Amino acid sequence: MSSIAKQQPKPLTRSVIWTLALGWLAVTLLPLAFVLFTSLKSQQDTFDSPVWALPTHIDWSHYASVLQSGFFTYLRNSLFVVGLSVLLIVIVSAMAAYALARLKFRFNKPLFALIVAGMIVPLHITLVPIYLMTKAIGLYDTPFALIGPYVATSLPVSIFILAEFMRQIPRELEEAAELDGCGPFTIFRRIFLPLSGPGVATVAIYNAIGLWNEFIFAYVLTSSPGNRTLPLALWDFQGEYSSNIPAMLAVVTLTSLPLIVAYAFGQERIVKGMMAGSLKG
Amino acid sequence: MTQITLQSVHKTYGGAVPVIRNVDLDIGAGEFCVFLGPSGCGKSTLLRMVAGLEAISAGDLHIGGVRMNDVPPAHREVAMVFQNYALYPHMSLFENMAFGLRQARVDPKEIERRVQDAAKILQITHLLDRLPKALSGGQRQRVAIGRAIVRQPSVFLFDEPLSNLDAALRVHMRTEIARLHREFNRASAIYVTHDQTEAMALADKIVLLRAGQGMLEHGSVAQIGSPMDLYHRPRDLFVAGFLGSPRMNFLPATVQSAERGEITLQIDGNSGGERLRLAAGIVAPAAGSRVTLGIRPEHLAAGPSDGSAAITRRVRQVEHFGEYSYVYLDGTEGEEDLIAKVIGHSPARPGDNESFSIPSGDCHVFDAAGFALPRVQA
Amino acid sequence: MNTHATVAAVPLARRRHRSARQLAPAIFLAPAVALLAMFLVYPLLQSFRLSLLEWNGLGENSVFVGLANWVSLAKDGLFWHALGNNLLLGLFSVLIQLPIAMALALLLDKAGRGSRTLKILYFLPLLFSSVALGVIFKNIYDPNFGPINAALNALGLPALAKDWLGDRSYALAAVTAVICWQNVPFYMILFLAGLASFPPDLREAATLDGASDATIFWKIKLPHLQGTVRTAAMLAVIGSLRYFDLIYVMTGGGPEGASELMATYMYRTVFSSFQLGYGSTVASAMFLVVTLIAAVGMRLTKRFETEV
Repeated sequence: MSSIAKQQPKPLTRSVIWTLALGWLAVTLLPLAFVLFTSLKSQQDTFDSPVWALPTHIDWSHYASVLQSGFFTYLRNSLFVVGLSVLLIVIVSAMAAYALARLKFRFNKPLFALIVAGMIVPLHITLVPIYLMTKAIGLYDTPFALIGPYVATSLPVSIFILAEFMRQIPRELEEAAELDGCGPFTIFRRIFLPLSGPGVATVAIYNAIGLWNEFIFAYVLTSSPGNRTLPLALWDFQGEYSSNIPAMLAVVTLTSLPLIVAYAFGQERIVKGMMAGSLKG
Repeated sequence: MTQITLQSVHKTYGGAVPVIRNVDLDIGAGEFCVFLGPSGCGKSTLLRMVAGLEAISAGDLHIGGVRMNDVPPAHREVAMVFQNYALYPHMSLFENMAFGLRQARVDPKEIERRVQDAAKILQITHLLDRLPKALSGGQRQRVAIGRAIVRQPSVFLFDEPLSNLDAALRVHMRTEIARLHREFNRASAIYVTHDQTEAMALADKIVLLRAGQGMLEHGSVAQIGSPMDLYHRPRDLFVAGFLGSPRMNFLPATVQSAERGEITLQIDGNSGGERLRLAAGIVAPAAGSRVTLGIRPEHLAAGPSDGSAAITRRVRQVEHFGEYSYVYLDGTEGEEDLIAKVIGHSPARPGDNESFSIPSGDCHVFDAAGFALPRVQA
Repeated sequence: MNTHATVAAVPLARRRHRSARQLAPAIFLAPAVALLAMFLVYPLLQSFRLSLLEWNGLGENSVFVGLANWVSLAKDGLFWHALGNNLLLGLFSVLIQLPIAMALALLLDKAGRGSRTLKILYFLPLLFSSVALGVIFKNIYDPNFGPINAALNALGLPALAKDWLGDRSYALAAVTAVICWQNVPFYMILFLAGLASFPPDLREAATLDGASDATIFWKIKLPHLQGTVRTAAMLAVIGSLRYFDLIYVMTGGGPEGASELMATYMYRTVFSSFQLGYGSTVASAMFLVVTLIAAVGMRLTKRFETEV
């Protein structure tokens, strides 16, 4: 009989499998196709021709109009807020993860459990108090208002991920470093940090993507378009393009484009990064 | 003159689980000392206590006359070679060896000189720019040793450095280590291993450690002495059985009579067992007491005996290795086979009855508690 | 390293070394602990404190009302309805997303060629922000201009063409469908990872024992994936308790609370009705519900899990 190693399913099963696979592919892609095509139609086109029809001619005017209406401001704000947040997240969580994974001190285990439990807290419960706090400090309606909440809420999962990574680093390396005369700070800087490269990359990607698409805190803590991040662009443009469907879908496409481009360049990393918090289980 | 002194050293985990009990030990300058023992005896732990990587629960450690219990590892004038090499994966070999010196703020020119010297001795000069992952196990081990050499320590500590290497490489590296120690002969060395061949080959002094119940009853140290001391004059059954491969043969017996210079033993055995008269000059135990007779496989002499000490047993199995043969004989009821090592090709065949004589001078008699009965000084 | 110099330097170095060791944990943890205290712990406590007030958020005119808000909450039909919606969402998330994801994972695991492209394409929904998806599907569900109704009409089934988001009976289901659409690939990847860790010898042994593919799946692969399925279920349930963005954009919680969730209800109470006190009560209740369910969930699933 044929080898056991790669047993081919029966032809009937195969076609069922492929039908299901393509079925889901259609379910996945059709909405996206709809968005793309419709965004390229002129408004008149949407009234005249059937919904599923391709555009009679490609109309870039919606895209042009969006790009000229301050789209780049939103983009810039997102880059700044997410960039700075991720940088701080990496530094703070690496330090905390090192302490929890490797330093011996009395409350190590309970503290770690507490921090990890923080992953469960729904953010909305902190929304109103943080809103009040932000107003009181005077940071309301500035991009800086977002940094604190963004970094803090990302810490539990980031610390969890990095601590796991750091636990894998062999104890012998630490001991050799001790014998070489290194204190905990040097060991962290010269040994753990360099060797945690993959973990740091994972944490960075995971948080970057999550924060990039973050809506509610940005919605509540900022109000003027000049200070808002990309997900808010969609919300803000609703007023301007309320009945202009192609224009709205152009906004959707443009706001989603950066992440899709990044995905095109490195799907493996992005998929792994996005799954990071859950794969460890 | 560096000396390492351990006095009444104890180690317990969590205050309740004893691991090391009552170790008293002196290591002289330039001495190569091997910590040997079965797994769980705490030999690595003891080494790490000397290094400063584990705390000493009780007792004192002195290095070079200075009490080192609370001194951090980097200041103890020791250098360690780890079992898994512990090379920094993200640094070149040069950097690996230089790291400790840089931490100590040694002059860069001096660092360069020391690393190059060590690299030359270890024949890895051409590899200095590479990363550890580009190297074979044996090369990595050399770098680990090099890292220890450049520190110019008073004591070299080796934690089972060869156990991750294949057999051939192990033999080669063993001689390398011995050679290196001769070059740095002012430094002492402590070497941990579970392999008694390594211990016998390398040690000036062996510290054989006990585990488990024996450790709890009698302390961690079974015997300290030169390899030949431990081999020819083991203090108890544990030491006698640990060194030498195949293991020493043990025959339970009862003392029939003991006159000065001669004792007669009745070997256990349901078909009467043998009666042996030994002129071993062993200090006489009382008649009727239980003893164990120990005789190493290579000392069992094939052929008819010259005296009255001989055993005849049925041959179970014979293994031929060209240079020598192992003859497996029926042991006492319920005990393991006896093994005789015969030079050359043994004519014995399974099922035959063969006689082996027991030379008095080579046998060991252990009392009921397992301790060797002392020999009368001639 | 000169013995004399080292020995002399030892006491000072010893002290420095020891104090560095003792302070190190504190220093490394300080920034994280400070941030967590400020943005997680403090707001959590503050939320409970605010729940004891009646306050419209402007000025100092807050009134301490003790547990009055909580009592109101217990009697508040809107809240319980929202909670019910959350639980329904959770239930259907698990019942719909997980099997589909598992099927896709098994599919991709077997498919070999082409599975990589499929995987890449399947993952796309996860790249979109919830807001973007809200806008997209709001348009797709549009009763007059949306492609779904257009297709139904074209197929001659105008009776099936409903006002998906505007009809009380369909709103929650419509929203649930979008959530499934977005999250199925996530669980698919999770299960794929679980399947990848399945030792091939087990499958070969089973095949030698004459087991069919179906038997292999149910009796061997599924038990092996227990841990992953448990994780997936927990994530789905806890995730569903926290949904906000998508619903807010698509329906705002309507029509008439048909798709109201705890989070949207809280938002409305605070930012539309200006009842900060009561809104905080809702938020605090949300926290308690999530914690309770998470704790219960972990206990329950641990009990049913067999050692693999």
